[in-house]
Amino acid sequence: MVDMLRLGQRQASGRARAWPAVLLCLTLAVASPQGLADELEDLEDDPFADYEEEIEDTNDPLEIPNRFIFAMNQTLDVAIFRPIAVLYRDLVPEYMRQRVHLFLRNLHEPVTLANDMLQGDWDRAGTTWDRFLLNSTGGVFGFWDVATDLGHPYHKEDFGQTLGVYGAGEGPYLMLPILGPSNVRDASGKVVDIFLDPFFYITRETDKEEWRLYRFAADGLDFRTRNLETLDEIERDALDFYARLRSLYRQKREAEIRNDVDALSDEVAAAERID
Amino acid sequence: MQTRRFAIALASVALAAVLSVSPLAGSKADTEQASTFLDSVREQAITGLTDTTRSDEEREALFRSLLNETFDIRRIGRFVVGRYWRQAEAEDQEAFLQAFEDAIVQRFLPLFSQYQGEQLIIGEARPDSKNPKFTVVASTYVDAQSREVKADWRLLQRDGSYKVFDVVVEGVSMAITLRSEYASVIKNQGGLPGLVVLLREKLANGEFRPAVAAE
Repeated sequence: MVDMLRLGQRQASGRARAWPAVLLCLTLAVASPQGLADELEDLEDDPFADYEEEIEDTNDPLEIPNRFIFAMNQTLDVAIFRPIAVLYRDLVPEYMRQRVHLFLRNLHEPVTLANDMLQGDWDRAGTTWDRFLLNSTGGVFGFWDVATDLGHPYHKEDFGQTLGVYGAGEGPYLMLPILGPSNVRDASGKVVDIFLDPFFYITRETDKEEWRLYRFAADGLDFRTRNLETLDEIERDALDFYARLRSLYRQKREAEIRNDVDALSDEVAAAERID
Repeated sequence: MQTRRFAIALASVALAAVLSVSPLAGSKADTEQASTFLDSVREQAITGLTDTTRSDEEREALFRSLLNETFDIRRIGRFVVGRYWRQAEAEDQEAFLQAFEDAIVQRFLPLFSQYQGEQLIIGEARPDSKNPKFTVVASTYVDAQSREVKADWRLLQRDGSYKVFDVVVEGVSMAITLRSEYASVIKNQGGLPGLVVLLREKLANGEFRPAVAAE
């Protein structure tokens, strides 16, 4: 019976998209005491169809090695990164931590600017340019974010997003050592971003390559500290922390590529700013 | 922080209970009416759930009834189990729905006893651009430190009444996240009963309780 209905649907309309809908509706029909008319209506237009398509695939052919790296990352985090972040949070006043955060964020603006331009988004490129100039001068090397107050809100772009804007798929999901969730597109983007960053050339010309490592460490500490509560909370009631993070990462990146959430993040950032 | 605010935002709309009877789609007047209505209901619910003079049992019963009036728990439950739903026995399905609801109660109810003047501002309703069967209601959640988070509530109309199907915060859908996670658990546990066992274990240990309440 089920197979007949499936087959009939397929032949009648040839709509591959209706497949999950049909299956789901049959399930609904069995599970709930609804009339036949209802069932048929559901067959026509199931509200879950889009949801089904969005997520059916976890995009994780490397799940086994990924989970292995995740376990190592977790171990490192528990033993080293998290304790350092907790110390930093408890020993350094919030005011100072905020200065460090804004300074590091300002250092990233040239990369955002390059990607704004590569995406052809000249409005945002203008905003980023203004922000970098204002904050590097009036904001004293970026320790203060005066640009937001002057109507130039923060946003962040990277080359992974730029690739996404031009329609590149994410490629298989990747768990990077130390760096965490990523995918082939975003990991390649990270490499390109290194070369889009004036910092790379400045440290090369001045023979201060070790500063790259210091900055990397500082970025990591800042990120981990700011996410102490969030990550604890995400892990706390997770049944499968790895799978949960994977889903969160994929949805978040997709929203960032659409630039859906940036306006929101700006608001949050503005509200969270401590001066 | 995000998740906590997300959690509280979700809980706050659990309060905005009577979405289920208000005509959100349709004319603008309807929408406004729905918002006004929502506001008043939310106020009533906040009074009910944050009232510490009530017993825990009373508040839990109230929370469960508001939850079921506001959210289409059966449908959400079915959705998050995904394709494994139809392979499962009816009794396992029911056991899952019960554990799922219990987990939601353990996760969100305690947030109301810590209520500190957080606000949920209900915005406008619009048809979902991806799927016209859904109506999306925008909202802004303002926490006690006046930080703002925007959340979209995806509602489904059924027999003329609305129920919440999903909450999307900063581009992250709660239903999709849970579904993806549960699929992984079910696969590794070899079926829906395995997921139910795991949920019950965590429930018994109180692991869904928000961190602040657990301490």
